[in-house]
Amino acid sequence: MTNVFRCLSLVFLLSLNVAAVAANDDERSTRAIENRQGLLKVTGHYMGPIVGMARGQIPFDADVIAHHATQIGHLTGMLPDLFRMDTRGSSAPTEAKGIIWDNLEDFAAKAKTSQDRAQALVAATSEGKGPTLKAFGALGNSCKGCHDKYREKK
Amino acid sequence: MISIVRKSSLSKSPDNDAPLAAVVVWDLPLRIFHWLIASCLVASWLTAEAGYEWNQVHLYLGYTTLTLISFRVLWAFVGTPSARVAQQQWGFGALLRSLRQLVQPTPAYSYGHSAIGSWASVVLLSLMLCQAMSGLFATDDIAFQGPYYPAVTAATASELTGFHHLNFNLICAAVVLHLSIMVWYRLYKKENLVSAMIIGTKDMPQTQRLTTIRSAEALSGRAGILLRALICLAVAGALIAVVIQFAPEPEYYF
Ligand code: HEC
Repeated sequence: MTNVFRCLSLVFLLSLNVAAVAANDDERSTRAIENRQGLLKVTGHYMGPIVGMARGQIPFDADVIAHHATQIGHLTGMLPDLFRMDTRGSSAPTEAKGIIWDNLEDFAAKAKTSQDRAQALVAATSEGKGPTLKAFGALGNSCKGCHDKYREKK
Repeated sequence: MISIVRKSSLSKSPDNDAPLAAVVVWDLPLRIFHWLIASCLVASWLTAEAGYEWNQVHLYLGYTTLTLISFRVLWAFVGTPSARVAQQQWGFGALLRSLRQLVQPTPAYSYGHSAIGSWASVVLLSLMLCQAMSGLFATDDIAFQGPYYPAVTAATASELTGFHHLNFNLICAAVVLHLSIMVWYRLYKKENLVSAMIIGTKDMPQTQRLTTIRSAEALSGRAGILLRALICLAVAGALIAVVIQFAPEPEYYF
């Protein structure tokens, strides 16, 4: 009887443990998802005023663009780090496609393209408005390049 | 004026034994509208895919679509008979009749839309209207924002952007259906609807009712029709210009 009882409690404890590990896993994925989304939200934040300048809604300011593009360069450089954790199977809402983790190298290459173009935008700000806006277009297209492949269409 | 063509005179089935002759079934403004909105749709699709440099063009194509659809709504009240809401058949009975006609291997010889055609054009234009309207609020999270994006919460904008993408698939399906029906008419029913939408005329049996319609159109005259169309276009354009003008200023902080 006591043996049966011992076995049962062992099974019970083990299952608790498994559940705890699973919960822990899910929590970690959730945090990873929230963090990378936060990173991208900040990236979007730094894009905003440049969009406004490109559309002529606020005055063109090369210094602001240079500063923002510098930060976007840093931020896109962080993308591979923040996407390293495979979150497939997580229950947290995400628009990231699962194929990211089958193509991590390509994903990192796309992040690098964005980073390079952000840096090119910084350089272009000293050449006047035309080249600056052109470089901004190239940066925007690099974001789109990754979204088209790795982000779920809304 | 044109309203002398009564609805009942349009609903009789044509006398297929009468000799065929070219009849103007679509007025020039309506035909121009048709091909403009078709071009707008294709161009909007291409510019949506083409990347950042085409964002602004995509936006203006949306405004053009809104203007064109507003024009079409006005034209449905003051256009020539085949363009008018009041001259079309909308009822369930008419729908059944036109469905039965559709599966016959004979030309429909309809002056303007069949009942199915009327509903189909309403559906198609509504889809495009929803598309252009949702685009006003849409964002790609990168560098595109519709003019009314700041008017709603980020979550709503995201929902409407999702709708914009989903609805495009519905439009594609509707266009494929539309084109299939044209092929169906051409091959199975031996009637060329496409050329009618280009040159405006269709070979139809000469019957009393068509003579009435033709003389009604003659009454208003070509210049009269064009002038009316221009007024409608100006009103539609002004309406959309006001809508865009009242868009909220986006706020940027940095
Ligand atoms: C290497 C791929 C990649 C690049 C490059 C990239 N993104 Fe993204 N972006 C993603 C993915 C994947 C998501 C979806 C993340 C999720 O939902 O977990 C996303 C989501 C976003 C979001 C929504 C974040 C949220 O949850 O609210 C914004 C905003 C964004 N990206 C902006 C940008 C901008 C601006 C650039 C260019 C400067 C850019 N992205 C470049 C992959 C990328």
